[in-house]
Amino acid sequence: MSLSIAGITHVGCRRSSNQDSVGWYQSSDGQRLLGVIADGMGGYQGGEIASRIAVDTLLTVLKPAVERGVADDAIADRVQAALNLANERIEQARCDRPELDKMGTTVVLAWLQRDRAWVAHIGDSRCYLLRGERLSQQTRDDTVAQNMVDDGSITREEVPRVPFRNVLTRALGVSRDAGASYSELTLAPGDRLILCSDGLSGAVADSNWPALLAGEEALEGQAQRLIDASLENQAGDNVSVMMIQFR
Amino acid sequence: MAIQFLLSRLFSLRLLLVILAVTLVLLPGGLPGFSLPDRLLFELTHPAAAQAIAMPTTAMSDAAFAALVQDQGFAIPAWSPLAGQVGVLLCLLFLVWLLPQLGTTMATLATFTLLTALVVSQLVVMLYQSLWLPLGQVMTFLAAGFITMLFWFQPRRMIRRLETTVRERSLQLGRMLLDQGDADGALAVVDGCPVDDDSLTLRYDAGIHQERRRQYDQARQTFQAIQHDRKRYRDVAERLEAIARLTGEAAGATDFEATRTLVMPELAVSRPTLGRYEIQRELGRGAMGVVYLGKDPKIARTVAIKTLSYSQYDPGELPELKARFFREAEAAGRLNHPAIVTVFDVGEEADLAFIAMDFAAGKPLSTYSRSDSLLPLPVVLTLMAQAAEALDYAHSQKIVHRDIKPANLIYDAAGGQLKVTDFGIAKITDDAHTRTGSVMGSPLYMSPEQLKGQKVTGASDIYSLGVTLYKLVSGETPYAGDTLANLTYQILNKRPRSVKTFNPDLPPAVVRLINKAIQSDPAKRFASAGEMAQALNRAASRETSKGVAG
Repeated sequence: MSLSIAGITHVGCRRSSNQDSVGWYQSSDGQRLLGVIADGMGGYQGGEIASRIAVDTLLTVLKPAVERGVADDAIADRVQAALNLANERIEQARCDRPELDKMGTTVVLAWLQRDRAWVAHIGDSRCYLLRGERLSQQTRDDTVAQNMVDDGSITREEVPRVPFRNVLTRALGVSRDAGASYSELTLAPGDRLILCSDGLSGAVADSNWPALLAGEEALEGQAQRLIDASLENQAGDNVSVMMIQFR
Repeated sequence: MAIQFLLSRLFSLRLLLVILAVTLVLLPGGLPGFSLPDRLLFELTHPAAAQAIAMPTTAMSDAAFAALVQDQGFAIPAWSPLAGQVGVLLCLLFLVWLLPQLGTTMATLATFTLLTALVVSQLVVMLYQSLWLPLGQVMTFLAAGFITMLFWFQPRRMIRRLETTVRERSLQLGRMLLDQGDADGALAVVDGCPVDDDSLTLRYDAGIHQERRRQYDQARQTFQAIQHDRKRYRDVAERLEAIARLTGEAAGATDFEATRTLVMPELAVSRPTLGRYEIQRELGRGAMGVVYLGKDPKIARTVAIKTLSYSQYDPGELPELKARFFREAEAAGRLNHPAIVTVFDVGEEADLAFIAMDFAAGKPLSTYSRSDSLLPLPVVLTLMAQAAEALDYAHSQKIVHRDIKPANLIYDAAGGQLKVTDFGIAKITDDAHTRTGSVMGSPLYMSPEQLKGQKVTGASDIYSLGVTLYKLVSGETPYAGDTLANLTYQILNKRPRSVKTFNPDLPPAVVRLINKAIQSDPAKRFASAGEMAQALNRAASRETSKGVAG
């Protein structure tokens, strides 16, 4: 069994600063892996700070656990504790400067151990499972637009036109509650996980991704292909992609 | 500095004269040939003695000539060399310093007079004192110097004229640039000009200009330079003090957003301007940014200025944002209706864009939208009819408001006039960029099709006006929700709460009117805003007559 990971973040075509942050850690014996993507918001300075704090805190807190390995049923608790700490830190950073008042961030992370993956997320950064040619989204966006789709008010195709499509219903650092959504997957050899911020899903329809990734062996190359595709489509937002391969 | 001074003077004619004078002074006996006037004078006054000797006096050596003079009975005073030297130096001063200040004619006259004076002095001394005072060196020097200066005069005059012309043109250009708003350019042009009242005035005006445009750092530099050149020029010292206080408070940031309000300076510093409007005070905060009260100084018109600050946006997004802003403002500018706030002007500065519009006296209807502050029903109906008529006009001009709500309707209680404001403007800033629930503008008045992102038409305005009417007669809205997600769900999926639950006394006709306006299906609402206006007017007149009769 082997795990590999590659992550890239790009400022995109329209923005002048990158408010996404990415980070990962693989244990020394290569058996366990943690990948995180955070997409910050709240004035274009606050976004950078918030997402950076989230990624740094998560990696720092979870690194030892990833290194040694943790019982399966303890993973969610560990992750939640780390998220709570990140939440506190963002709130603290906010107190220091009034112009960071609205800052917050999304988070999506994947913890891989043996042949299982635990995915946690808050916000609209996503995790997909790519099995062969089939791509399936593993996370449900915490957005108003998603709610509207869920309750049948609009269809998925109408989402890009909704005025409040980017408004989040949950985010890290904006309230006391940092509760995330969790899911567990069992992986088959050859499976890939794709973590991304909404810059990617907003610029390139996910139905196109399997075709884009076909033929590229290296993980980093695959991530780069997705980034290139979003730049070609004039990505209006920061784009972050993380590819995780399970063999 | 000293070297530059020396070098610039090195090749001037006057320096030659100085060298000549110094040579004459230092050389004992002066330069040969310079004593010519002495010899000539002697020959003229003592022709007999001159003829008696073998050679002409001019060819004699100095010593021989001195002996000849003494033979005639004249004494040569011991101080005559000194007198000669002093005379040369005085003439030098005359030539080098006094002459340049006179015109050519005056100079010639003066020189002539001086020359004559020298000759006369020598003669007088000779005749009455029997002293021979050889002023020949001085006379020759004076004559030679004068001719040299003539060579100097002409170019000097031309240079002087050029200098004056350049100075005048610079001031003119500087004034023109300043009038066009280019203070920096004006200052650059005037930079080389000599410091005098005119150039100082121009620099002072440029400084004021920079103050007005909130370029406080540049203004400070300008005023400091003026102070350096002239200590107490007008009120420069006070202005510098006021600017120091101002920028000290704002901690170096002079853009709007950083200080969250336009720092209103005290009187010593000029009022800031936006475009050509003077800012008087802050009126309030709109969804887009701060709203100021302004005045057009040229025609004394009071305006409301809505600003959109760029600082909260990523620079990459700005071009599109600006394009939309100006497009909307232009569209709004085409509307000309008594019940619509007129847009006069739109412009931008470095850190923000602004719209100058008619300052509508009165209060927004949101003031009268709480259940304890509602207006009487006939008044509300009449006002809504005015709004509907304004919307009808706008729709005929192919412009949809998109954000009708009580806050955008200004009511002047004194005159009973309603004005609709903010056509299309509130929607400039794309809601898609806000991520948190504190979105700009609440969707309480938004039609379902707007929430779904479908095409916005006049029917959407009718819906929003219906909700506004609902609010103004009951103090509540048809839908409510504690979060944005909740609220949108209600609007899209649930039936509205009946207005009668909040205001049971409402006449059935008005209830029907409201219900028709807030139908989810646009096709089921009033066919046009004009139709709604008619219905409202009918209801209003019924209510008024009821009130009169009952």
